[in-house]
Amino acid sequence: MARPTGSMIRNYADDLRLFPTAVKRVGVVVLIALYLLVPYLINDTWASVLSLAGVVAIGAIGLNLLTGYTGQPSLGTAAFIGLGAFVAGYYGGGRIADGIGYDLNLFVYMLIAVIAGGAVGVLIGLPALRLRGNYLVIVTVGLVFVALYVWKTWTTFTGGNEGSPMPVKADINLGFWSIDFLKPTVFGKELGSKQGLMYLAWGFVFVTALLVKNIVRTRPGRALQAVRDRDVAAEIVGVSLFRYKVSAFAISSAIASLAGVLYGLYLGYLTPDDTSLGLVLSIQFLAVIVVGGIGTIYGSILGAVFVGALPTLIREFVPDNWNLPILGWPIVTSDAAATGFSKGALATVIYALLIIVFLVFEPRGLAGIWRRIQAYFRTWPFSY
Amino acid sequence: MRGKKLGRFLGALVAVALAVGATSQAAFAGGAHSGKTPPDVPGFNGSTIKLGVITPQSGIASVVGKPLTEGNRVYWEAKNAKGGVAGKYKVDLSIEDSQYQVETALQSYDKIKGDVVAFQQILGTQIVKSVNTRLKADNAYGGPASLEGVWVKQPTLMPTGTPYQVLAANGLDWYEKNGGQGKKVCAMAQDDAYGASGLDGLTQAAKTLKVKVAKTVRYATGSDVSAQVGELADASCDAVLLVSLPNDTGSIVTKMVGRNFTPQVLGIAPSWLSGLENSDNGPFYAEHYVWLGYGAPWGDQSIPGMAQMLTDQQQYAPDQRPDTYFQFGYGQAWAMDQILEQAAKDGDFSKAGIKKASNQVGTLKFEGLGGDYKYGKSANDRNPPRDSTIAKVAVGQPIGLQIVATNYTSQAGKNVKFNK
Repeated sequence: MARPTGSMIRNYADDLRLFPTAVKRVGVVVLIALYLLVPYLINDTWASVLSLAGVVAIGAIGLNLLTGYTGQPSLGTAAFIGLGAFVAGYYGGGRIADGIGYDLNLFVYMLIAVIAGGAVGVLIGLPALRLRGNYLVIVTVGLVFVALYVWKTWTTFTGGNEGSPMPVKADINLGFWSIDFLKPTVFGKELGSKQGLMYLAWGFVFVTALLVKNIVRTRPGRALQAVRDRDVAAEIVGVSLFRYKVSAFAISSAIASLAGVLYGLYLGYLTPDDTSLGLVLSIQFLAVIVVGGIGTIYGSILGAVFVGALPTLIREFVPDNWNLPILGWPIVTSDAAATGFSKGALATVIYALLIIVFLVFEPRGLAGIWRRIQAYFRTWPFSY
Repeated sequence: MRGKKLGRFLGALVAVALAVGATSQAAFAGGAHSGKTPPDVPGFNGSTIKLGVITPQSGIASVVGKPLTEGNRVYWEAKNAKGGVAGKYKVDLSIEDSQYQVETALQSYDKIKGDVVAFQQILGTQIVKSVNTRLKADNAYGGPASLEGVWVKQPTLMPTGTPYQVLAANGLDWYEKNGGQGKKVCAMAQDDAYGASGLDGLTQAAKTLKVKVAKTVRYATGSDVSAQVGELADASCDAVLLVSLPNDTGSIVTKMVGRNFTPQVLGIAPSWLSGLENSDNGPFYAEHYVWLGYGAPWGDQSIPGMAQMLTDQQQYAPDQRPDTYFQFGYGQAWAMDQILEQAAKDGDFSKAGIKKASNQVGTLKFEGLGGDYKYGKSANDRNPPRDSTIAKVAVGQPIGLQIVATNYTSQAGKNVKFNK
């Protein structure tokens, strides 16, 4: 008797399977192999790009839970990123040389950041019970401004305007085994801090993706999506808006704070100004889930990698002076006085165009394109 | 038995011969070093020294990054034309566009750190602070392109110029001695590290001069400043120390004019941009604005350092207009040149060698283009220049400024202390 294919869902247990097909299981093995090998093989430039992409992916997964799955738009991510980073600076030994803060192990200060982020998330979730749409966005925008003010004035915790050094080590010591992710030794080879941060960040991408996937594929996830689709109807059928909205804010904020810890480790030093922790940072996270795909977990990861790698791809592969083929229009120029974009400006323009293009033509983002490719090959050659 | 002894003797002889050989090889290698031929290291291939530049070449901050980098470039082109460092090593700049974003700057650093011996220029306070953590980890060296006092004691950084704190202190002293005694002094600063530096200098100077700062307001750069200007006007301030950037200076002065509030504005160097003198508020600037900067006035050929810069500028950047950022960039390259010359004497262009050279160079001298900077034997010994240039706004002058005082020093400026 023939067995059903992995994609065939016959009961609830089938529906809950994380990796239903052999292809997906092989894919997971390949991803684990890549996780172990890639940091070991690539140079500092790409390790730097990909470790930041991992950090952004974590924050984007959290934001996607809140905005994509629960329908609560938020521009407050920068506030939680800042919270996580300053917790790292204070509890991770960033300022211990000045006699300020603590010098705790990586997982301990990560836990403090996650708890603090979750607690603040609960506070922000409460107004969400009475607000939705644009009004909720304004509240979260306000949060970014309030947070910036707090970071600038709470000098004991953040260093005020001068900012705070971040931990110079990200170590775990279990007695019988220890590792410093900023100076890791893998397979007997000492790697750089960016490679170590890649291991750390992408490890947590896996953990947060699994956590959020488990939330959204089970009963709470269906409740969150019911809140997103029609909150009044959800409440009528017994979904507690208080419980699910506040929980979504708490979990999303906790994940953003975790991303903040890693962001702090990546930057090495953080000053609380508009360029580092302002609204633009929040908008960038929103752009990542728009480009990657709202309401999908792997969309957040695809978006983070794509948006994160784009400027470097342009820097590395676009010539210093490049004219549009055939038409000959100057696109990239290294001469400031000549017509054309610098490479940095070109990356910004493409980034902006991508957001517009995805919003207009592919609202499901890169994840939507990926799904269509999958559907095409699943039914190939009868793709109609 | 005798054979055994002979074997031992020969063995010992071989061992001695090997040891002597190894020693003489080492001595030979040492001899080569004592001949001061620097070995090839990352960023130096025996003939060319590569220096990194991480600066905004696009975006709004490129108005600062481009002339600064042009100043760097002109200095090194002129130096290369004379043979280069130690008369034989050409210098090549590897320029990366940071877009004034920390993440981009860090990725630029990671990209070129293995290809350069040091960083000629790193622009942006947050960027320098983040890159500095990498410099420390890599035992590397770089020049911050701002006058923050916090750079002074950092062993991985090459600060140049008179720090903001000293500019503020000298400015207050100058005001007190030029009709400001007993008048109400206030301050308006942007709410970031740069603003904090200016206010730190004012606070330290106020203690020395026994002046009370009546009112201090802060603002977020790019935001509406009506409320803050209103507070200063309501406090009837006679003078306002302004720690701002040019885009905010314009809107602050517009609000002052709108309220008919006419204090003496003491603007820290970056608050000014050539062209403001021709704006609608030109008359206000001419009457009420005083520029607190440092270095020789542009065009003064009687100052050897300025004469040298102008000669080089006319040859390698003839279209360059008078610009304080260009002047800073030129001076910064001059500072790096003195450290590289020391490294060439030591025969070591490695990252560690350049850091070591910075502690041997003694005092960085600029022949009047900027104040001399004592470097000493370690970063803790550093003592930055304590002199300022004070100018008033005048249409038709280079950079729109008419010099009132050069090499202005004060006890308040000399007393300024710098934290790590």
